[in-house]
Amino acid sequence: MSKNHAQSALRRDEAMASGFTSARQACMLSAAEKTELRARVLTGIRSLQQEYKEPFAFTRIFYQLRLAAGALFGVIFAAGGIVYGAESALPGDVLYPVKIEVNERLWGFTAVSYEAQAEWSVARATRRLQEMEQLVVAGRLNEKRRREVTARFEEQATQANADIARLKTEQKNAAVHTSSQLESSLRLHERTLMQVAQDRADIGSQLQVILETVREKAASVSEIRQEIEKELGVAREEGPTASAVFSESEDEEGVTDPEGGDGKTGSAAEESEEDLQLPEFEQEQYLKETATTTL
Amino acid sequence: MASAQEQEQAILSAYDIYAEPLFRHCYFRLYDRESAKDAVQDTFVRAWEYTAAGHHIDNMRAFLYRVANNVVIDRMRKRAPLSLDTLFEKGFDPRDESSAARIGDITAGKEVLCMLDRLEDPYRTVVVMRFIDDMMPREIATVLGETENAVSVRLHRAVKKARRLWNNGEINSTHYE
Repeated sequence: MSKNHAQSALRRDEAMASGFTSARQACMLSAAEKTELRARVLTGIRSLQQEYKEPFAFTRIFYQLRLAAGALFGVIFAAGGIVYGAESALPGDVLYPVKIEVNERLWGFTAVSYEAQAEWSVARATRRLQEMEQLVVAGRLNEKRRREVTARFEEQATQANADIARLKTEQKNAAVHTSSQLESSLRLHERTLMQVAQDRADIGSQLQVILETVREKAASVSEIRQEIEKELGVAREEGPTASAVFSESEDEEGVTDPEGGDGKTGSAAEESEEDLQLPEFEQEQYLKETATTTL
Repeated sequence: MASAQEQEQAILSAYDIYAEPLFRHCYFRLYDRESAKDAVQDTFVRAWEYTAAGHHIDNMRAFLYRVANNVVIDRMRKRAPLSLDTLFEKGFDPRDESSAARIGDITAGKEVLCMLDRLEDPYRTVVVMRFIDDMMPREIATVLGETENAVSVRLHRAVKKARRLWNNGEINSTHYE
């Protein structure tokens, strides 16, 4: 029974194999078809050869443009994604160098005026403090990161002070505003860090180091602010400046005299009479000259 | 780097050798004579483009089958699936008029087509390559870009399935009993 079954299976396998052979043999290209297909292949190759010979062929340029545009969009999307992702990176993250070296540099380039530069410096130093707090909350603050972030904060806070000092020479009011902004931000973060230090005794020593740096910078920026305010105060006490007086007299001159119909002011008329009065020695000279002329 | 004429000549020589088996491969996967011819044409033109771009082809046969496989996949994606029954009703026949006299068993050929039609695609591809194109598992692996082991396993499963279809009478096989 099983022998019959095996023989039957073998026969079926042979039939299948012969079926494949038959199918293979049955499916062929006729000689005419083969020649025609060869000609089609040759035509296809020749038309491509022609296209390659013409460097400015429309299809080729279009294809290259499409390729370039595709690559450009790809790069823009990828870069945009990285930059966006890096914005929330913290020290120790893979994208943190991108945040510092790319994102913040780009922001720095957009700040053109002294005021914008000072504001950006303040914002950048504040970002470092925020990062420190986030690291503490996430439990990721260690000695190495603390040292790294504190050094960067110190450097950027110093830069902010320098920018404010530079701004002071041009716009005192803006300098006061920016310095008080930095000072209040530093005081605010100081309080936050103090609270955190009370809650987290395990990293208290590290937070103390950060707090000292923040206090030091806050004191330094406070000094700068007071200095600028003092300068502003002195300037106010001294009264209107020469230029201010000049502009006031200009304004007065601009007002027409209600009595004088020609719009000429009284002071201007007096001045013209004074001009005619010559000094003594010149008067004598003048009289001599006129006498000779009369004679 | 070969000159343009040499490249063209190399492709035409390859055409003379491989046009027939490539046509068969495309035909058993597309079930349409004209589509299969177009696929063969595309295969050789793409091969020429590859050489014209400065690339060197080490194994022409494997390379052409790989290109043909890609061309067939592109065409299968673009067109609506064809029912083999509909094709038979319309007078579909694997025979070529010129070689009809040499065909011993047309029925068996038709049944192979039915069986291939019922095999799902990853299996059908390897069965066509193994039994129609007469390729060894190593060559199939080169064409498909997979390991020889993976191809052997797939081939084993495909043959099992094909045998089951053939033996269970799902294909018209009553007259073999």
